[in-house]
Amino acid sequence: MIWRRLLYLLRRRRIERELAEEMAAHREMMGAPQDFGNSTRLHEEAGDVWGWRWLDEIGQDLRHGMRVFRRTPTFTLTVVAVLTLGLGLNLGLVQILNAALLKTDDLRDPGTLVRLRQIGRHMSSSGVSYPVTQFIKEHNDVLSSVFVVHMVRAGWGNNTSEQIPAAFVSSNFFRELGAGAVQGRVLHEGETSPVVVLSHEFWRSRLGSDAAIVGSTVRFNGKSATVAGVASAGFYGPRADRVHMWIPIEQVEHFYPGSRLKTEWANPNVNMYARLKPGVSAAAAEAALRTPMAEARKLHPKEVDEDPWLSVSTGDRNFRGDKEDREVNTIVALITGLCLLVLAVACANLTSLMVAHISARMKEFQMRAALGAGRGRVVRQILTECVLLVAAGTIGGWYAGFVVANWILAQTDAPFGLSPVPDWRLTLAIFLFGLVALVGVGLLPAWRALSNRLVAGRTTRNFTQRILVGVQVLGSCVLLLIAGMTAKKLQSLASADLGFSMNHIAVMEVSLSQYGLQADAAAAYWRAVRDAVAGNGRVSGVALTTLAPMGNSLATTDYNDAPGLKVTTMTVDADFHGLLQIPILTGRKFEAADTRESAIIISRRLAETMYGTLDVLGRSFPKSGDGPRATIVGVAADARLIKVVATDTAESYSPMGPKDLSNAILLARVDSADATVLRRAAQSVSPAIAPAVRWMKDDFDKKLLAPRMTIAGAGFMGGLALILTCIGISGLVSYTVSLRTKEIGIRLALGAEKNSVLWLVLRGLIWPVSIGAVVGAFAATFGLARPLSGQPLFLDPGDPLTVTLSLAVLAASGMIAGSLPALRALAIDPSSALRQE
Amino acid sequence: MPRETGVPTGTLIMMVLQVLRNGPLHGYAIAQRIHTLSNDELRVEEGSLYPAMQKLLMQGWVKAEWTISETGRKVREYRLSPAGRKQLETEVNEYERMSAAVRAVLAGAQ
Repeated sequence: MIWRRLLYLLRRRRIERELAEEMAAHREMMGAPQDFGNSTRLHEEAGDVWGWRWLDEIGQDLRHGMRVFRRTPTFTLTVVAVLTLGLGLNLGLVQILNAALLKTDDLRDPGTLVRLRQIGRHMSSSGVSYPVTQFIKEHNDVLSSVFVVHMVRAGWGNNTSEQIPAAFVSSNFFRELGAGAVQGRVLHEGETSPVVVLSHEFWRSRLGSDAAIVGSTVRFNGKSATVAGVASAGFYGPRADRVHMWIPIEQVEHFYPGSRLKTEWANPNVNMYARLKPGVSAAAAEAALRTPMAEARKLHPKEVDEDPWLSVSTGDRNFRGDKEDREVNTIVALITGLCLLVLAVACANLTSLMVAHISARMKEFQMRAALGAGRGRVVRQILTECVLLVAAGTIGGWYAGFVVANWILAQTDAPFGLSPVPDWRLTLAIFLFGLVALVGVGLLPAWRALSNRLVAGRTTRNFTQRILVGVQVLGSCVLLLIAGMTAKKLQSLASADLGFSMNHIAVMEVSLSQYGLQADAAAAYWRAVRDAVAGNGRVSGVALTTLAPMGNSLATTDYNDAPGLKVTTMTVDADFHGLLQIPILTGRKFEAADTRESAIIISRRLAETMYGTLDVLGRSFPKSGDGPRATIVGVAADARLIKVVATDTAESYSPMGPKDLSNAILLARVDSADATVLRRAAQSVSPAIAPAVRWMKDDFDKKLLAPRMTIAGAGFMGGLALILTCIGISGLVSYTVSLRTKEIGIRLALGAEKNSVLWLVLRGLIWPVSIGAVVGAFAATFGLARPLSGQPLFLDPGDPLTVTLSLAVLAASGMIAGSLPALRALAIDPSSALRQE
Repeated sequence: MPRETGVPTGTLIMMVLQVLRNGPLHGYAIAQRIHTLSNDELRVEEGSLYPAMQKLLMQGWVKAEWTISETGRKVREYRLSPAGRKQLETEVNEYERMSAAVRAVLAGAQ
């Protein structure tokens, strides 16, 4: 029967024609044809049996809706644009948040997958040293398996200048993560010859999806290896790391001859992951692993820090610790809050647009009701139009979301595998959200109209409109203020005196321990490289350090004597301060005889906070405590070396010892646009070792990326909210004008002054705009002060200049938006206005 | 003049199926046949006949085809399908059960 009904739908035209002919014949055969009745009605009633009448009516609604849209293009385009921008921005941001921070479903059983970080009394690290990982693997009863990831960058193919990211991993890496191969195989236990597994992305984009690559020989860091396979698409490892290639960690010596990675207890430089045994919680594992860590310290007291333990964080929180989790939550809460604000402004805007639109069509609805249309039919008409509008807005919003997400991903060093394509569930959710909002605001006035309460409705609606404008002003005021604050912050960052000079400074990094160069060999290497580099005519200064300023690594210490300060601890040689032009305020630079135990240089802020004076030469550092203490030999000017944005940092500098040289980084002032002179100089010393060279300025630009993105985002949101608010204000004024056309006409005809008419129209704006602006300014200044002044943006919410400027922008745009339709009111021709109903 | 009444509710489909049992008929003839068989007692309104015929078509109880009638007119004839025959049986049984029940109530009430 169902398919007969569907068949009817297909052959409808023919069947209806046959029915008509049949009825005509019937009529002719009757003795008294006039008794047959109204044949059109009979025809329709007979056709209704098939149950397709609703479809006809939807068709009618759609046709009528499209006609309405064509007749009111401004309304239609505005609603679609508001939905597109309002929904799209949110969709894009939520997509990025979701993909980058919250999504974990790609991992197999993420709740039992944990990452472990080595913490000690003096240092905490995001990694663990390889021998410690193996020791823990053998000496615990809470982990069912352990695997490690050690990230490196090295030359690909014969041309070592193309550096690609790769990871040395345990051979159970793929099995534990549940990943397979699309070509060849993944790694398995007991690999004997040098093999690599390529990422799908690298295979596709760099190697043109060449299936013949499996089994062929490739070169990495100048050493050859066989391609075992290509990992499945979308697999990038446990943290969606930027990795092109995986290599068994057993073969690290093949690629880096003499590597001490697997024997060095002191360097916590591999990422350690594990599976918890069933029923073991992360906290229980953390507690249980203290015992084997203490044993490891007993065995290697010099290399393993005091009070060692492993922090354990699970995959279902993206391996974030509590502190990181709080930071992420702040960001998520902040962005979500801003998004909701934009959404609220957009909703208020849609509501006022819809209210004005529906009331303009009141006559149409009343006419339909008078002609016998049921309430349901009119409601369905509005519903149909809303669905059309929201569908168009959702499609636009989906695309806008994709563009926003794509832009964010393109601007950042995002891990591979993040998709900018908005999740279909999110898209469906915004569609439903838009629909509910629009239908809700559309139906209320229509319902009222059909109850013939139009006259009573008029004043309330105008009141509603004013409240809506107030909400929009409030929202855009907050967003504008935040945009202003971020802009000011960025401007102050870009022009800020960081306390040191990074012009023409190049950074040359090489992991000597990977090449097996330790202590004396490393010292010899650096001596030779230093001489070779300094011998170049274009190089005017050279220094060594273990942490690159503007780099990504950071070592900080909190001292009880300097509360609230995060002290960046740098290990530097005697030339460091001179090269970066960090003035030594009192005392001296380091000398060759200084050791970590004997000498330390601290920054002015640290001296002032810890000792309350700059007169600290010869005193012990830290001020109190029972650990080893060094003598302060100098006070340096403050320099924001690593954390550019933060306001709670100070610095301490320790002299470089022989042990630090295997982790050293060379800084040089190069008077040339080409920093590779450094690498050429280094390779002239040791051709086998390929260091990476970059400009410090580029690192700085990368550091500014996050604030730049924030200001772009905040600025975009602020602008969007401003545009929406202007639309709302102009809508309110137009609406007022349309309601009072006749009155304005009479006033003008009776000789009213133009100013008083203008006042009449704009008067309604004064209260909603000023209340909205004042509440918004208060909310932004006080409500957001705490979350914004800390991590991660360090904004200054109370800044009077920003507040004034934002309010001025808002007031000016509001005036313009309101004046345009108001001026139109003045152009009303009194004679035609009087004829208006 | 005999008093003409409409068809009792729920029986039209059954009667249409019944008059089609002896062979295909067109719409007007169906109405006429019911009229005569009921001794001019029942008159099928066109307003109920055609919706009923559409329903029969939808349910697949009858098939329709165009032919030329004895009077040389192009008409659409309805033919009972096997499913319709079965439906007729069901409806007749049901109707007889019902009317027996109604008669029993009437007899008991006297």
